[in-house]
Amino acid sequence: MLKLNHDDGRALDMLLELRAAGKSPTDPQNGGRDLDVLPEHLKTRLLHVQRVMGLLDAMPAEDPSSDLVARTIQLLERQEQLQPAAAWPFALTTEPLADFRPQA
Amino acid sequence: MQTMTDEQLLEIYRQGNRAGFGLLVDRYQRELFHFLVRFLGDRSTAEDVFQETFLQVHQSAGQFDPERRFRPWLFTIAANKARDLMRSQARRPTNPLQAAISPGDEEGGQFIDLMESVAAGPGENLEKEELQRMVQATVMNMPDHLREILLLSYFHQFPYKQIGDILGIPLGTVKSRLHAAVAHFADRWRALQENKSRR
Repeated sequence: MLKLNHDDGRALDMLLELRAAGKSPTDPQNGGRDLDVLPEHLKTRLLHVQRVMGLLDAMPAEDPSSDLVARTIQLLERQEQLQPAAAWPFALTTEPLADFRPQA
Repeated sequence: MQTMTDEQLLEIYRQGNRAGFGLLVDRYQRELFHFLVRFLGDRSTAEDVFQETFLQVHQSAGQFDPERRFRPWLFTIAANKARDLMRSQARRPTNPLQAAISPGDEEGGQFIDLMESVAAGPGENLEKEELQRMVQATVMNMPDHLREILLLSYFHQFPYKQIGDILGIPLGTVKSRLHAAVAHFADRWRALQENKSRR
């Protein structure tokens, strides 16, 4: 099995930690300054790891069908009809979804 | 209601107002679907698992711990459903490398250096569609457990601790598995580029 060397591993952990916090190592206003304390070789690694990981941004992601939400709600309603209210841990209102309209 | 947190919406639903549930489904339709379609590789299957996930959310809402965050809980359910489906379909490995790697097999192995394994300017000189196709092929050919953790960390930006909670693995395993996933991706990408340049 392939493994990253120690410096690449550290750089990857830092990159993903920054991303999880909504930051970027190349944004001087938001995350970039976090790199200032790093030794130069680690900064270089981190920027290279970011370029490699950046390839993933090219991965396409189809959007869901426009009726997926509506179908999901309908599935839930069908399930409720199949199983009596006593089977659920709480009682659901039978009033219409006044505050929610699924996107068409 | 649109500005309420996920946890508030779930609580409203637990108190009997359906609108909370509908808003949660709507709020997560894109993000959760993207995870599932990238993990499962099939649109129709991803939609099925999406629906099953929210059905499970409905069934388990009464047991949801209000101290927890909803989003990692949602992805825990989705990832479990997706893995259950893949197991039931008894997918076979598509290449020897995939056959050789399995969860828990993080000991041993060969080190790679990312700066040497991937040439400067990865992705340059490739048409956009070709780049998309190649990246997708590389990711989809990864072992399932490596692809899963890569998606959760890079695309959905879960912190390591939450990934551990979602996958039910310790923090150390999150790190080692993620490192293995990136090493695998980089190595496969390099091989693909080399193949391409030989033609």
